[in-house]
Amino acid sequence: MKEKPDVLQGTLALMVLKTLDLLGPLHGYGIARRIEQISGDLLAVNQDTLYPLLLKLEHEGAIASDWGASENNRRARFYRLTKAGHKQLLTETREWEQTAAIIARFFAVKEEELS
Amino acid sequence: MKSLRRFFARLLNRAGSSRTDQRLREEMEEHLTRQTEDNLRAGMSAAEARRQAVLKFGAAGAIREQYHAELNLQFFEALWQDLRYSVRMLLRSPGFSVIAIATMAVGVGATTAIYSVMDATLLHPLPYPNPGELVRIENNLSGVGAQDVGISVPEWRDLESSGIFQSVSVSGHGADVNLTGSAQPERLSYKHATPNYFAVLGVNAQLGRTFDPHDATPGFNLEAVISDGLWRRKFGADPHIIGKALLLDNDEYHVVGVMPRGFRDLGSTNEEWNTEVWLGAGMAGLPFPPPMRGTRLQSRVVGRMKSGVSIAVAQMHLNALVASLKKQYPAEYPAEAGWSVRLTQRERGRQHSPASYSAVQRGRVGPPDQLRQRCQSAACQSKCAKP
Repeated sequence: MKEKPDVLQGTLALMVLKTLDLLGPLHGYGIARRIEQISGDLLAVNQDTLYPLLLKLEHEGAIASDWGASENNRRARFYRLTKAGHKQLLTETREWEQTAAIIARFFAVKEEELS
Repeated sequence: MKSLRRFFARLLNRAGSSRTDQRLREEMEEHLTRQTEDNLRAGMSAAEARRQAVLKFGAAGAIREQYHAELNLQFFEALWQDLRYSVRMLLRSPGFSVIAIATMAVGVGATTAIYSVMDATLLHPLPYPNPGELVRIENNLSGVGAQDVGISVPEWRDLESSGIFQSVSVSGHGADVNLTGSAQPERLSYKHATPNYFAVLGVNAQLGRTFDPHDATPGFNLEAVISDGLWRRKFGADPHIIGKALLLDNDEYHVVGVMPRGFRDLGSTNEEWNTEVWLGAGMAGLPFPPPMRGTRLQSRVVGRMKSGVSIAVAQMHLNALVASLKKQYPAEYPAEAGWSVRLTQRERGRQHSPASYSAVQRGRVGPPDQLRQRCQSAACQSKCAKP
């Protein structure tokens, strides 16, 4: 079986923020499942980076968390995006798009264009 | 801003708080349960579903470790743990701990004591010759429970003419005054003193003169003597400072002298020690109250006994003088007030023995002898200082 690539931590933060932005409050398992699902099961979310990352984002004020009841009425910790998190998502999205565009240009460039 | 917020959040998360640990455990458990359920739905057997869920989840220990690394600042965490560990170890063998701490305390105390004495005797020798003759004169009204009530001008004159002292000076306790008229205004410690003040201390000016001991001006004589420190700091060690005007709280005084470097005023507070301006005053005219026997001035009285007179003998003569004054002025000194005058030697704390001082002055004792002599007394003092 081929190993699924892990997610880099910097991009994982962006994915978490975007997921919460799209789907509203979610618990840790939900976030992990959704990210894997959106990636078309190409990515595996590493749990030992996800939970520390959630805590870090919470410390930074990008997300907030509360205890709540899950669909099947069990206690679960729900994470939601804060206002600051929304702003962070916007700037990081812009930065990511810029980076991706630059990389794309490097891939697209042909030898004759540079001569 | 973001990282600052994160820093404080981590700082506030106390180490080993069980609540956050509980939270992670619950989240992990929830995660596993959901994964198991999803696996079951996908058609696995119960045992296999759980096994796969745990496999996918990864090592719980590693997750907890990572989580804790984010939770709080590892440095403070470790510091706190070390601290608790050391306290536990100290408590485990209290006898050893007490001895170790006591040893350190005695070591630190002895070192401090020795260096304090070295500092006082070698680095800051008291700048008064024959300090053994200097006495502090304290007026007490024991009948009404009042101590050090100050002296009145007639009493001061009585002491001057009593024949017990070479001279007796009266000075204020020191206060602050604004020095203006120069580039930068400054708040200084000053002291007013009878003109014989420096004569009693036996110290002369390094530049100009001190006050004339026979000056009979009743109020302020508008002469000022300044410290070496002030002279250097404020006037750039100007050699032509003598005669220059000094504006103190808008009153004009004239500098008549600069005290030598290292000269320090007597006194019990640092402020008094660091007096930088002395003003001469007879204390008998304005702005002082009229010189009545009953009008005591808040003051510090210092006398220089006749040479060769011991303090006990001087006190005896003084007691006789007090008794005769009481008889002479029964209205001013009612018996129930219990007026008495007490002499105390000025030799305390930062002073050293008159013998070594005069010996050094005459150049008989070289530095090594001097050092040994003083260290002996330093050792003695540190021994005495121990409880």
